[in-house]
Amino acid sequence: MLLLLPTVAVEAGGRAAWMVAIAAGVTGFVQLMIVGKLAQRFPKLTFPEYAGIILGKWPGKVLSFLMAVNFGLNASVDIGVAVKNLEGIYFVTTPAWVIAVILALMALSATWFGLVHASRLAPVLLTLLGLTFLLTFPLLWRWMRPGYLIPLFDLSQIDAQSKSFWVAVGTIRAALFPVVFMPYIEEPKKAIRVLGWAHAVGMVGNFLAVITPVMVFSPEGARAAAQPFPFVIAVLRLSNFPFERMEMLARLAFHINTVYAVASIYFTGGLFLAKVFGSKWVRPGMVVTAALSVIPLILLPSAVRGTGFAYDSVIRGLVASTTVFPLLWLVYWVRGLHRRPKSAASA
Amino acid sequence: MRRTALLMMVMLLLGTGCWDARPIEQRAFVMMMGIDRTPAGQYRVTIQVQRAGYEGQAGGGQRARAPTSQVLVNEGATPRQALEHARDELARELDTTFLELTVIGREVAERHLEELDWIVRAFRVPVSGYVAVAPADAESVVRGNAPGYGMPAQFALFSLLSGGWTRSAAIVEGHMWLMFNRNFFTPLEDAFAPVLAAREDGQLNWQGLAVFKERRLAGLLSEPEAAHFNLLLGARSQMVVAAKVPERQGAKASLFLQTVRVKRRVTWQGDRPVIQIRLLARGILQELIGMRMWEDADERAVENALADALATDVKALVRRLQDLGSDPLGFGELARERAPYRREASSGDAWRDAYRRAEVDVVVTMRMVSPGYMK
Repeated sequence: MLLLLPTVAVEAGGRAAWMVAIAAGVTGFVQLMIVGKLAQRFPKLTFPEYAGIILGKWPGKVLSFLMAVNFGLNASVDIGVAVKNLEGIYFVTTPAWVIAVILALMALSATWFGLVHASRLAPVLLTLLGLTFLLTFPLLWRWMRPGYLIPLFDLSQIDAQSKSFWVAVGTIRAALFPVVFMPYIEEPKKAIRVLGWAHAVGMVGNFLAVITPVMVFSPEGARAAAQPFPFVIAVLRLSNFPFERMEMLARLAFHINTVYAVASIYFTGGLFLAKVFGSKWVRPGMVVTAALSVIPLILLPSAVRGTGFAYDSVIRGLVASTTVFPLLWLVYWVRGLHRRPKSAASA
Repeated sequence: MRRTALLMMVMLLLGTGCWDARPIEQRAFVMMMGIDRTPAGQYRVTIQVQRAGYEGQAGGGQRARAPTSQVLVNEGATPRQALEHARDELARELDTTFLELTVIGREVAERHLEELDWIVRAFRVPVSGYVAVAPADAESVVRGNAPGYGMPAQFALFSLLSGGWTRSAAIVEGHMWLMFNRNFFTPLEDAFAPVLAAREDGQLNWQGLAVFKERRLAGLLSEPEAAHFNLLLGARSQMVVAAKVPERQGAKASLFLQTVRVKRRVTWQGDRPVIQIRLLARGILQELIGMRMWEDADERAVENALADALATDVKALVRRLQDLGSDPLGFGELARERAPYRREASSGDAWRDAYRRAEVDVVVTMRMVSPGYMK
């Protein structure tokens, strides 16, 4: 959520936006551990399957269905942010809903042949993202004023009651990764460790994306920007370089990564729906999830602006991930499922 | 392999620009823009437009291709509306993505700067572009010219950037984002922009610095003042410092500054801020009249004289800024960093009041790295 976290963190925290970013990272990490450790108990099983074991067949299906719907609505936030990232810059007369539909189709096509196939794009995307970061942040250092962050630990700057704050905290949906990828991983224990490190590296990037606009534009200037990051990259101008305007390249890089994240969500939604309805076909569910993600963007302008509906969706996702999985853990322990033989957990 | 190819094909097809696809020959690029205000209260926008096109035919039946430029002037109730009228005049799509320089007319700078909201809101106006203030109207600047170049925007740009035609310290870089996205929002800093003028013969020239106070033009600094401003900003320092050597009657010296290390901070004496500036300057002696440097004491005398002269000029600049009520050097932010919870640094108004009363303490250390061929 590189495109949303800086906006809401700066809105909620101003000079102390970096503390909001850390809160978001810690929340994401805790979610990752909670979800990941639970998924580890059921290697090779998908969420609908082990939810069914923990809660019972029908409650598990209902929960999985609601999660799939939640994923679809959350994906609309990602697409909305991606549209906002492009609209007015690359597309001026093209309606936002057209861009949204195209993005959804791109995401759908990326995962149409399965998540493993789509994952082959990951090294390329990560390299692109890494290069973009390497080219932008060191160059922006010239314009940064660390003094804008002083006083460093001024909690009075943070409006913890604002919607922006809770959207910021809920933006890092790291919990999605174990839910999606665990059944495909050979070594689940190692996967959690790797996911933890990946999350930490990702948070470094997010942290930089949050503090850079504050240090370049000042807290007041960053707050006045609609999307402080990647807008701050527009400050860079690299004459005699293949990409004179780094902002354009950066927006494309972030956009492509967003498409990949949305593709993962579509696959997850499709898989959940397939398991709920007892089908072996994931694609119909993927299409339904994709449709669910695009419809709000067509019907609600605020969904594209990245406020209103989008904020509510992220907060809803935060509530879901911070209640559903702890509750599953609770039922898991109460029912004594942790004492069952491992072979039963894999069934 | 087929799946990958299909995936790539789908993505390529979906990324062709959609309804916004417009080939380059259908675009007219705005390179320079001037914004004025008419006596009737309308905005008058002057733009210099470049477009890819053909001019005449060369021998052998081949068509020669050269960029063409034109200047358009239009009025509207807002700057954006005026630009829209310019778009109506052109047979091509007006494209501001390569806008190099925006020149703000004097009257707009003095009274209507907050109405230039479009410049910083529009995605297609690059905030990395430069901004300048015209001492009178911006139209004459956009219509100006530079010898050997048919495109003043390029003159302004090349002369501005370091390594361009001149490294004069009197030319201050003013970026769009610095003014409109930072300095206009920070309560403890004010904006600044270089002054660009067109002489009677139409020749463009940089002429000092415009400083602002709360989004209003507060005053214009001269070129020497702009050079000292650049020095304190740590941006450029290549300038000449000249002084009489008081310890040697009739002696004068001048030194070309190569590098200057600047330290600025604000301390407090009671409720009065003290602006402290420390400069460590190194340079090459250019002139020494009326004496020779036979001994170390002679060198020290020259260095001290030059240091005192520079300190006097820097102090005079800061005093001038205090009198204008403008703080483009950001002393307010420095004061806040040092004492974040002080009442005087808590708001723009409180700081402005304290800033006027601030004491200025400048110490310059001058080091002569070379006396030239002579002693």
